[in-house]
Amino acid sequence: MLEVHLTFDVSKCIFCCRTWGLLLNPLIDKAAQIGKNVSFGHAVRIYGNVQIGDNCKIGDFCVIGHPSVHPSSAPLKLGAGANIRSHSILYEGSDIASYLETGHHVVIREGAKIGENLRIGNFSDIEGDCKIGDFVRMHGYVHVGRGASIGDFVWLFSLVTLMNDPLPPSHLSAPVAVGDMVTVCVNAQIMPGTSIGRGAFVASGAVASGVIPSSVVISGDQGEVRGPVKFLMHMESRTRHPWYKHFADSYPERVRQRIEAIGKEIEAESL
Amino acid sequence: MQRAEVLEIMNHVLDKRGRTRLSNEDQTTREANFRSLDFSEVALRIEAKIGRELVFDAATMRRIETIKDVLDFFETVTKS
Repeated sequence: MLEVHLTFDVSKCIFCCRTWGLLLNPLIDKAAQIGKNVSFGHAVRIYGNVQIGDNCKIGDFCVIGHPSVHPSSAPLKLGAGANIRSHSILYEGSDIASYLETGHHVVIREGAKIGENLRIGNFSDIEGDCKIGDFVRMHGYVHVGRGASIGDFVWLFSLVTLMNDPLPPSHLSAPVAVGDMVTVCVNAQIMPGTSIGRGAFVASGAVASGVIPSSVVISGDQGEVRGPVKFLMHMESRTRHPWYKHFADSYPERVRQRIEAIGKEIEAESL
Repeated sequence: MQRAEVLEIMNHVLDKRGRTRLSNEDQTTREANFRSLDFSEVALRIEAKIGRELVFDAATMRRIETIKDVLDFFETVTKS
């Protein structure tokens, strides 16, 4: 009969616990510039090429200022009041304005220029060299392809993909441009090189390509223009688009005038 | 635009989506499966047909509940 003898070495166990405890401490490069009242979760890694504003929260297992694969000496600038949830990775070389709010497992690659109060949901990623306006909202699993340009107050719902390679795989690049106050609904696919005009509404599951005029609704796998956005109304509740007339209260009061001004501009353009 | 013409455009939009044609004006838009995107498409087709943009009162649009309301709405806005 086989006898198994288990031994338990208390000293090794204590060593392991201590090592694990050390690993969970934030690892912060001395060259990093960190503002006041910044909190770090467990096992955070902060690289040196980073400037973090005041009052930021960095969640567990985040990597801030990850070295870029492209030669870049620009630091990652992370504005004040950011809330970066666990397992997110922000590369060096991006300039992110105040009040960024991420879900978990978000990736923002190098060279992004991001406006105020971007909210980006779990598992979303922003590829390099993107330009993103103020108060943009992205839900979970959104992919923003390299070089995309996104205006102010844009909504990208879950599973939206903004592509950029017109003949994959290739070295070609045809980034997407999305105008101010555009709404892109769940699972819509925006093909490389697409330009979406201000205030347009892309219905769920639509495949958009080419030049989409301002203030139109498009739907379907051919990205068909279905009509003017001003006639888009939820028939049961009779809530109408554009959203800024009934939903601006979800933004801080200080920006509501700006929302209304952009909304009116877009309506005037579409007349 | 005549009511019958508006109805024909509405049915054309529903045909294109493989849905049942409208048979009863008293049906709610939900019962008739006439959706928000259909409403927008009908508006676009009417604008193309009459060659001008429809101008409307938002409050009137919000009162729409039935297919009859939709027909009334477009009949009125195309005359104004």
